[in-house]
Order: sequence, then C-alpha cells, then structure tokens
Amino acid sequence: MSGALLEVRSVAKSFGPVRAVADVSFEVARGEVFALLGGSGCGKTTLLRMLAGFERPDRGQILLDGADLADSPPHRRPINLMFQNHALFPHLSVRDNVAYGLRREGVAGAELARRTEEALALVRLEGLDARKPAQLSGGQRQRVALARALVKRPKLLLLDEPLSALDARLREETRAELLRLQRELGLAFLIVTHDQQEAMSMADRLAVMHDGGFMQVGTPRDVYARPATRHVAIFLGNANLLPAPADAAGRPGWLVLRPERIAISRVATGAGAVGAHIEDVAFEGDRTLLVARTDAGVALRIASAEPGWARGEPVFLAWDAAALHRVSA
Amino acid sequence: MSGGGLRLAATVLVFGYAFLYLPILLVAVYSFNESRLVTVWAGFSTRWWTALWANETLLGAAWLSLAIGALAASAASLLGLAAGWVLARARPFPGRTAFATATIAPMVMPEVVMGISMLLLFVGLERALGGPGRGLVTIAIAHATLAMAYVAVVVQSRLAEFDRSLEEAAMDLGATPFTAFRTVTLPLLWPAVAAGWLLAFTLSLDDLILTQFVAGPQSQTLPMRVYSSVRLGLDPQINVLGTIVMAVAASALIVASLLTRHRADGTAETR
Repeated sequence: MSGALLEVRSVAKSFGPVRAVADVSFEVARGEVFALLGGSGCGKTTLLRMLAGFERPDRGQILLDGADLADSPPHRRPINLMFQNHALFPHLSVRDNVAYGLRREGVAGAELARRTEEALALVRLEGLDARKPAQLSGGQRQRVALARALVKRPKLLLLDEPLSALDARLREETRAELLRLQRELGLAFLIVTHDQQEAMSMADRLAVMHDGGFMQVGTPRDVYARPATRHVAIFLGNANLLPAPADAAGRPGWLVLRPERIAISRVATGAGAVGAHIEDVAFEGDRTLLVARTDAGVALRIASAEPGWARGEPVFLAWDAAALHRVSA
Repeated sequence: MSGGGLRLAATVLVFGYAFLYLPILLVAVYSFNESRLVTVWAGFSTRWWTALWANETLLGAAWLSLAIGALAASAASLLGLAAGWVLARARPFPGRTAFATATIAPMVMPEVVMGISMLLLFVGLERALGGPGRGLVTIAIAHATLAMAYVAVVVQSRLAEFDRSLEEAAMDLGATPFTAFRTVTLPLLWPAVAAGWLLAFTLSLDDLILTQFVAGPQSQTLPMRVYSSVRLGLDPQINVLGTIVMAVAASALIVASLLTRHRADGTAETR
C-alpha cells in the first residue's frame, strides 16, 4: 500500500486573539505510528480535536484517504479517539460501552455480539463484560477505552496521552500491548503527548510542537541526534548547550552535547580531557545523573553507568567531536 | 472544645430543633385529638381523619392541588431541562447573560409582583383570545414559571460538573448530537431532573400568594382552602390535612436529596 492515509495541509486555528495552531502540514502513512509532542498550550490538543472533528480549522485541509473531512462532523469520520481520561460511559457496562459504537452503526443481534466479543478478547477483557467502569482498575479502564475505540475498525486511531494515567510498570505493559495491536490490525496511530519518552518509545516518526507550529519532524533517533533548534534539543531528552563561534554567515550558534556522550573518569585519559569537579549526584538505578563544573566554569550534565561518584570529587571529562551537534536557533 | 462548651452547644441545638419542629409535630399529634378545639387535648381519636375522608370540599381542593402540582412540575421539568442545558452547554451567544438572569429571576422576584403580572397577562389573554379561563390551567402555568427556575438551576449545576468528554466520546463513536444526548447525557442527568420535578411539585403544592392572583372563583387549591378556614375558626380536620401534606412534601424532599446524592457518588468514581 502506498500514499498517505492522513494528509494535513496548512491547517490553522485561532480562538479569538489566541493562535492555537498556525499553518501545520504533515502526513501519516498507513500503518504508521506518528506522535505529536509538545508542552501544554503548544496546540497539540487543538490539532487532535480538529482531526476528531470537535473543532473546525480556520484554514487548511484535512484529508483522509484523499477525501476532505472539512464538512464531516465527528460521528461521520472513520477516525476514533481514545480519550485521555478514557471517558467511559459510567451508566453502561463494559460490554455496552464497547458495543456503543456498533449500535450507532445499526449493527445488531449475533453480529453485534460477535464483534463486541472479538474486541473484548483483543484487549483481554473477557469475563469483565458485565462490570461497570467504576468497578475496574485504571489499567482495565484503559483497555475498555481501547476496545471501544477499536471495535469500529477505524482507519486511524487518535490516542490522547495514552500512557500518562498509568503507573510505571503498567506503562511498559500497555505500550507493548498498544503496539502489538497496532501491528496486528495494521492501524495507523496518531499519539498526542507531552511525555518525550512516550513519544520516542512508540512513534515511527514524531513532530515536536511549540507555539502552534511544528519545530521538527522526523524519526525519534534523527530528531534526538540532530535536533533542529535548542528548544527541540532540550525538549527531547537531556542536553547540554554550549555557545559556539558564529558561522560563516555570522549567525550565533550553540552546540548540543547529550549527557550520555560525555565520558567521565578519575584520571586524564587523553589530550582533549577537561578538568572538572562534581557538583551534584542523582542516582537513578540504571544510571547516575551528574552535574559537573569544568575548570573553565561551565556546568555540564553527565549520564554515567557507574554509580560510585561523590559530590566534590575532581574528575576529567572528554567527548568526541562527532558528539557535538550545532544548532543556530 | 471543653465538656461545658460541648454541653452548651448540644443544648442550643436541641432547643433550636425543638423550636423548628415541635409545632409541626403538634399539628400531627392534635390531628388525633378527640376534642373539637384544636388546643385542648381530650383523648385519642381518629374521628377527624374519618371526617376529612367525607369532606368533599377539602378533598376536592387537595385533588386540585395535586393535579396542578403534577402538571406544573412536569412542564417546569421539561422547560427547566432545556434552559439548564442551554446555560451549561450552548456556545456563548449574544444575550446569554440576559437569558441566564431571566431564567433565575422568578427565584428572587417577590411573588406578589409575579402574581400581579401573571394576573394582568391572563386577563389580557382572556380579552384577546377568550381563554384560558382562570383556574387549573392558569395556576399550573404560573407555578411552572416559578418552579422552572429551580429545575434549571439543578440541571445546570449537574451538567457543569458533568464530564463533557462523555458526550464527545459518544459522537466520536458515531452518535449524532441528539443521540449522544439521549443515550449518554439524559441517563446521567435524570436524577437531577427527577429531583427538580419533586422540588417543583412541592413548591406548587404549598404556594398561596401566587395562586391567589391567578385562581378563579371555582378553583380553590388546598392552601387557599386551609387559609380561609383558619380565618373562620380552626377545625382538627386541618391538622389531619396538614399532617398528610407534610408527609408528602417531606418524602418528596427526602427522595430528591437521595437522588442527587446518589448521582454525586456515581460521578466521583469516573473522574
């Protein structure tokens, strides 16, 4: 299959004087997981609501499979949304929650039962179908919300902060589960999140949003390794920003240096090593985050696999020239 | 708090409640009085309960009041539901503030003023259209106007705490806005509407001032009948009636508060 499933062309939306989304264009391919990543107020939620049909764009087009969605209200779009707070109907049982979308399509009888059963099995919720949402755990509610959104076999599933309501262990499980279903059903996912880990670990491609616009679009590895701006570098993971000499055109610049690209040791290892002493130590289990101030007075963040560092300890820092990435904005 | 302070507080509380509810309790007790005099106890008897059962004037007035109450409460619930929904859900429109004020104005408007304006309206209508004649219909309209404000407020506050994404989820799953309202909003809202209906019903049942203005000579509601008989001299039958009305109104209020409280619990879970 070729061609984009979703095409967003120059979409813009303002609420009164507030510009929420400004001239955004992107495509999502069939079977792709695309993430919109940004802080609160960056316009990602407005963009999501425009795709679901709850808001109308002021300008621009949204095409699904080549068909313009401008005039289709939410209930006629082959797009479903998994809400951040799940939005399960509290007065309906799990089964009726899942069957809701099918009933609206006029599916009834054995077909309704079979497809509802299928969707419940897909998210492993058999046996809980008679419960009310209030009687479920957070993870179970999440799965009901997923089954309810998947039962109509949408072409595109929108997920609003799918992992943010879950605790750490459940997050990993749910992430694997979501991606398994995405692959099995050949669905396209569009994830909206403020959580860079959620975006990087799930998405094939991601877009970093700021102030209503896209700052950069690319694969998580690409964007992480070669951020387009300082903002992207800071937003996606940890970064040290070092002032760089002006380039040929005279523009100022910064060098992005990721904490895990800095080698730290107790003895000077080469000619390029820089003397420093440790100012702060945060042990995180699988790694230790350090802040070290160089003899020149620059504070650098360092990620080390070794846990045995102490505050005030003198150390030497070194990095490859290849670890430095220049940004000019 | 010290033991003495606590005892004082308890005493004040007991006296306060006694002051509020002892007279009401006495009305019920004296309905079983043997004597014709309402203030002299002469032994237990159910004769006034039997007498009331045969008193067609009073019973007629009671039935009229119940019919008006049911009519007015139903009309007020429908209109109040619509008004409350608009206040809580509709996109901002020109005149929204004016609409909100106009909706709740009957709650604060003196009933005498409402009574006069309603009377003038009905007299004008009668002249212009020849109807409706003053009686059950006009009283029910007047009561519905008053009670609608209360229903609207109950519905609006319920909707304000109601998660809007539920309606959006319904539409996302293929429900038209109307179907979303019917299958999601209304089932979650009905306890508020039912509570509003009961509130409207009790308001209508004991309204005297407004009713005086819009009632016709043939339509004496229960409060009007009771009031006029008090002026002619009390009869323990009034105590009997009072006891029944109190029981009805109190159960309606208890049911209404149970309904709203039950809902509050239900939604706390879904947040």
